[in-house]
Amino acid sequence: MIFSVNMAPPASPTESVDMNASLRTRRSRIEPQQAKDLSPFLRASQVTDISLYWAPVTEFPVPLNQREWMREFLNRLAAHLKEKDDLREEWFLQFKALYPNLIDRFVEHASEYVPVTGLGCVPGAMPVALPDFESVKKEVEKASKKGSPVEVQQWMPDHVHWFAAKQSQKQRQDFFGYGGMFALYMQPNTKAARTLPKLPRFMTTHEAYTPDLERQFAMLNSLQDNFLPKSKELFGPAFRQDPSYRGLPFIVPLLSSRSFLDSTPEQRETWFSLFHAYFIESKQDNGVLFASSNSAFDEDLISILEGMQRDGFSYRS
Amino acid sequence: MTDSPIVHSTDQHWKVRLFPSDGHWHCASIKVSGFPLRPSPKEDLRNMLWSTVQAVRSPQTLQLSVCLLMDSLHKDGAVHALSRHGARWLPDFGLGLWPDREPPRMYEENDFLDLEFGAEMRRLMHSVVHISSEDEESVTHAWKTMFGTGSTVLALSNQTTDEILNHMRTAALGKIQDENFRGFPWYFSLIGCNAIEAGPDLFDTWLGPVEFYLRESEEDSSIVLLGRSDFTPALEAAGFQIPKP
Repeated sequence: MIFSVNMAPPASPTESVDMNASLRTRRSRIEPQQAKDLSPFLRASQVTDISLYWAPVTEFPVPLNQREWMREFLNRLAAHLKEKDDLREEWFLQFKALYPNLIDRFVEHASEYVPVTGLGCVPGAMPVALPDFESVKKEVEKASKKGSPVEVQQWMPDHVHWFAAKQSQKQRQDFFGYGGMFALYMQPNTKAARTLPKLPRFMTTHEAYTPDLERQFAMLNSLQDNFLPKSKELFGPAFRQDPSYRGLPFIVPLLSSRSFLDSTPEQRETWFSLFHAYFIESKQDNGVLFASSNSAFDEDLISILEGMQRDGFSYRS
Repeated sequence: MTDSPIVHSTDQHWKVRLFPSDGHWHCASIKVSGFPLRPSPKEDLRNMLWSTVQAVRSPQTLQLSVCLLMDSLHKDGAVHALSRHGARWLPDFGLGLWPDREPPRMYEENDFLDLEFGAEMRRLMHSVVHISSEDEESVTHAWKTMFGTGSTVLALSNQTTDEILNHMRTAALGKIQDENFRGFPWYFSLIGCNAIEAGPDLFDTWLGPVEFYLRESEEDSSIVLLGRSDFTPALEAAGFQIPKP
């Protein structure tokens, strides 16, 4: 059993992951959480150095009622992490998830959200390499036998868009639920932000004035964020030979339950030196994952969930 | 250079200007009445320029890259075309830079206090969109659709776009002092008549492995063409009348 709270059977495909004896022993040392109601989340019992939770979704795109519940949860989670640990949220969207539903909306909002393209990586996996002629031929033959299109995405790098303009609620409203969004919750940026000089009143009251200037300033400050070079330092070594490496502003991990469970505590410690918490829509896991470096996050989660229940938000799976 | 010959070519009377060549870079400009172009001359000029591009390209099978400068895309709703075709073109955002202009920097108080009556505030930044689709038809479609808006830049190279952008980044970062502008994923060099007038020394640095460069230069009301090899025969074959030296 990987995810357990009230010992409900996990619906995740990670169910089949066979854990070794030492992990089983470690699990037995965890404080029992069975009594705690984390529903719809289940806590992974096999990692104890962090808190790892999974919640199921019916399918991707996520049905509207589940999507609305998740969006409300994410609003409250961000507020909770900000208030308690002064963490800010940075949201990302996987390029491969843009098709077919999101691309028009993405382009339409690009000037407002200022997406900056970087790379996502699955820790431990090799970077996607260009296929040789034989592999392409084999795939084309396979697809034509099946009468299906060739899946070209398998040969494309995992590009990721980071929303440099901070409008996370609006961005989730537009893109959440399609299996492509994820977030890092991090300490505030320590690089000093440059502020726009106070604009004369005749400018701000002019009919042609828009807040674009403030947005551009905020975006330019975002590009100075210290998490960007640090992410390349931590997750970049495998990509150093890639010609696009120098131009990549960031490299961030794409984590599934398997990544968390197959990694060592030392690896997880390295990942969590970039962020304090991590949230992802995981198609692989048929749900969403939330991980916090705080191994005793249950009470925090419960307080958010109870608040939601009180306010009439119930999750129907 | 200012006394270089100007002739009128084809029925549309395009003014073609050839800049003296150092043998290494060849430069020309075609004067237009201003951007956005009106539909009729636009189509004629686009067809002639596309023939030129094809002729330059064919012996070497050069790779095509297209970028759009966002500054004027609000005119005539050109930005809607970008939005409408976004799924096909896969626009990617970076920063445009003129080698002959002051590098970008954040606004300071004096930028506002010293602004003279009627003077235009300098733009904080010049966003450029790269058409990142790997499908060449889509890249061509983007150039053909957006041509005439005063925003298009077309480059041909025997190296990949990543390699072009790597060279352009090195040049840009050599110039940009303000830290806030040094973190863009990529930079694109914008060449206009001023840079050509200043001489071709800049081009190796700022264009890197680009073999042929064609830009609608709104600030000059011109189409600017640069090539490592002499493209005037291609211009001539496309119907432009080339002035004799």
